[in-house]
Amino acid sequence: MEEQAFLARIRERLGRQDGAPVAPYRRGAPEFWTGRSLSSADRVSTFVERFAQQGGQAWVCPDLTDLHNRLEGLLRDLAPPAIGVWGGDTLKEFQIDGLLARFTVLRWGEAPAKSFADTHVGITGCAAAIADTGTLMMAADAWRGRSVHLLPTVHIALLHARQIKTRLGEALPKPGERVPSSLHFVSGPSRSSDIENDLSIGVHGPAAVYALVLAGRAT
Amino acid sequence: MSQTGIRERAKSALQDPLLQQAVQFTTDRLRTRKANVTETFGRWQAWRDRGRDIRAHTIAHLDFYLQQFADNVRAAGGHVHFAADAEEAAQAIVDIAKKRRAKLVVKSKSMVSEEIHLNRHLEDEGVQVVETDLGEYIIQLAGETPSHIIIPSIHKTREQIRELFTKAGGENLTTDTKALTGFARRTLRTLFQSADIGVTGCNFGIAESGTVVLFTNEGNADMVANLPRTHVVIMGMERILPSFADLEVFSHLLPKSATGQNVITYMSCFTGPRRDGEADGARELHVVILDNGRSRQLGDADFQDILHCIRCGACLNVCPVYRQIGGHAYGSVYPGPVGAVLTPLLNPGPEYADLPYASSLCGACFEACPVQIPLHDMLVKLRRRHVAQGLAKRGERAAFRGFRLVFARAGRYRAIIRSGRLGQVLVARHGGIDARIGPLRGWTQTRRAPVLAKRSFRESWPGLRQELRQGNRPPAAGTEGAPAHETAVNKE
Repeated sequence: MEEQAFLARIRERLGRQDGAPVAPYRRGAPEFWTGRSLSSADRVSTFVERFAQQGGQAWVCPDLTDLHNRLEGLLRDLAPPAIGVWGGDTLKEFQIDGLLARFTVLRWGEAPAKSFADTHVGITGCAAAIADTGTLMMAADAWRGRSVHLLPTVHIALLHARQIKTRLGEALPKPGERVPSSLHFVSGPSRSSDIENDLSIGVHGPAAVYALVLAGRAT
Repeated sequence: MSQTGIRERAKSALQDPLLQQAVQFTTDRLRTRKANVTETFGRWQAWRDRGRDIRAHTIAHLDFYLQQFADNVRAAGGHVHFAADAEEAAQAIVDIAKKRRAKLVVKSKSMVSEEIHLNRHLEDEGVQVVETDLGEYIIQLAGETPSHIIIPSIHKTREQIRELFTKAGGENLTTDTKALTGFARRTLRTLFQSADIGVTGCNFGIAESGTVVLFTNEGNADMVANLPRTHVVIMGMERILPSFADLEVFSHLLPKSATGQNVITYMSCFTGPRRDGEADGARELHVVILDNGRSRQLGDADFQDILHCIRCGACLNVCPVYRQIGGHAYGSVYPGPVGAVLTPLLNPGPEYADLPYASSLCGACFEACPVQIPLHDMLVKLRRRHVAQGLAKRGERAAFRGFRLVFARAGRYRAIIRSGRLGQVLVARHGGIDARIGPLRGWTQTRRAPVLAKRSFRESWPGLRQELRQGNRPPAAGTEGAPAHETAVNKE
C-alpha cells in the first residue's frame, strides 16, 4: 500500500489533521526511578552482584596487573584454540597484547569477518554497563564487530568502573544523538527454557559471560 | 483457519492430560516468577501507569510517530514497506526473496509472521524457511503451531523432542536438555551462516531514531539479524515507541511480565543496516509495517486500547480458561485473553465470534496486564457486538428475550418464580438440580444448579423492612440476625 494512503487512513480513524501537533506526555521512566543516584562504589558492587544473578561472572580488578592475572587465569582454563578480539585501539588501555601473544588471535578489522565463526572466546570492551540489571552494552563500528561477542562460546568484556551507569536510561542514546547501527545489551549467557521448562545455557549465544572491571582511573 | 468451534477444540484439549499438566506447570511457573520479580522491583502499579500512558499517547498519535519512524529508518539506510493486509505483507517479503534469489530464510520468533502465514508463502516460492527459536524450531519440525506466545513448545515432552531431532539428523541423542540444545545449536549455526535472508519481528520501533528493538533470551534473533546479507523486519503498525527514554520503561515491563525475568538476556537495537567500514551486520534492512485490521480499532472507544498490547503473554498465564485448554484450542495465532479479543477484532465475522465466550470474565487478565488493557470489558463488549450483528445463537436470543420480558415487570417476575418453584419438584434432588434438560442444560452439564429458595428475598423483604424500622438494635446484632432468619427460612 502507498505510504501516504496508509498513514491517512490512521489519521482519519484517529480524527487527527495532517500536521496536527503532538500533545505533551510524560516520557520515559517515572521520576522516582530517574531521580535515584548510586555512589560509584555502589554502582560497581551492584553491577557485580546483578551480573552474577544473571548467570555471568564479574570481578573488580584493583589494577591492570590484577586484570591481567584474571584474564590469564581464565584463558588458561578455557584453553581456546582461537580468540577473537576487537580491533584497532579499542582495547589499548587494557594492554593485553603481550598476554595474548601465545594464543591464536583474530583481530576485528584485520581477520575476515567470517573467520570469527570459529573463535571460542571473544574479548571486547563495552560502551557502557548498567548496575540495575547487570548489563553490558556493546555499540558496533568498524573496529567493534558484533560477531566478536555474538559467535564464540565464551564472551569476556573488559571495562572501567567509571563506565558503569546506575540505570538503562543513562546508557541509551539521547534525543538527536547519532545512534550506532547496532546497540547490543547483554545480561548474562544465552538461555532457553523451551525444553520442558528446563533452563539450558548457550543455545545460540555465548554460554559463559565474564566481565573484568578495572577500578580507579585508566592509565 | 478454524474448522470447529472453540468448544470442540477445548474438549479435545481437555482430554489430553499431558498437555494440561504442561500448560499448568508452565503458566504457574511464569506467574509465580512474575509475582516475585515485580514485588522485589517495587512500585509496580506506578510502572504500569507509566506504561499505559506512553502506549496510549503513542497510539493516539500513531500517524505522527509512524511517519517519523519510517523517515528515520530510511535516513539510516533502511527500506520501509507499508502493507494494508496480510497478503500485501507476505507479497512484499516474497518479492524481496525473489529479488535476492533467496533459497534459505532463517527466522526468529514473530507472531506477526504467523499472522500473515509467511512461511507458507515463502515455501510456495520454493524458499526453505527455518525457525531458529528453540521452541519454534521444535514445533516446526513437528509441523505444528505455537501453543504459547512466549514458550511456544510447552506441549512437547523431551522424548518427543529427541525423536524430532533424531529425524532431523541428530545421532545418538539422549533426552538430556544439554544434548538436545547442543544439537539445535550446531544445526542452526550452519544455517545462520548460509541463509540469504533473516526475518525477525519487532518488539518496539523507536520513532525518534528509526530503531528496531528485539528482546530475546537465546540470542537467535541476533544471528538472524546480523549474519545473512538481508534483514527483513515484520512488525504490526502499533509496535512504536516515541523515544529511547520510553524504551527504558518497557525494558522493565516486558521481561518482568512475560517470564518474571528482571531483565531480558539480549536487547538488540538495529538502526539501519551496517555502515561504511563495518564488516558485519546485514547489508540491507527492510521494515514491513502491517495494518491488517489494526487501523479499524483506532477511534473506537471500546477497542482502541487493544493496540497498547506489548505481547508479553502475562494474561495467558493467569487466565483460568487458557490454563485448562492451552493455546491451540483458540484456533487462532493469538491465544488466551488477548487472542480472544484481538482475533475477532482483526477477523470480524462468524469464524472467531465464539472466542470472547471462552472466558469467565474474572478480570485476572486486566490485573496482570502491564499496560492495563481492560480485556475483560472488551470481551463483554465483543459479545454485545456479536449479538447486535445477529451472530448469537437462536436459543440464546430467545432466552434473553424471555429474560427481558420477565424482568421488566415485577408481577411477571413473581409469577414466574412461583411457577418455577412448583415446577422444580420434578427435577430437584437433595436441594439441587442435575437434570440436563432444556435451557438448564448449559448450566447442569458441568455443575449442579441450586433450587429456588422457599421464599425469595423479595418475599422476605416486607418482614425484614419491619425489623429494620424498629431499628434500635446495634448493627452487629442485625448482621447476625440475617443469616439466622435465612436458616429458619431454609428449614421450613
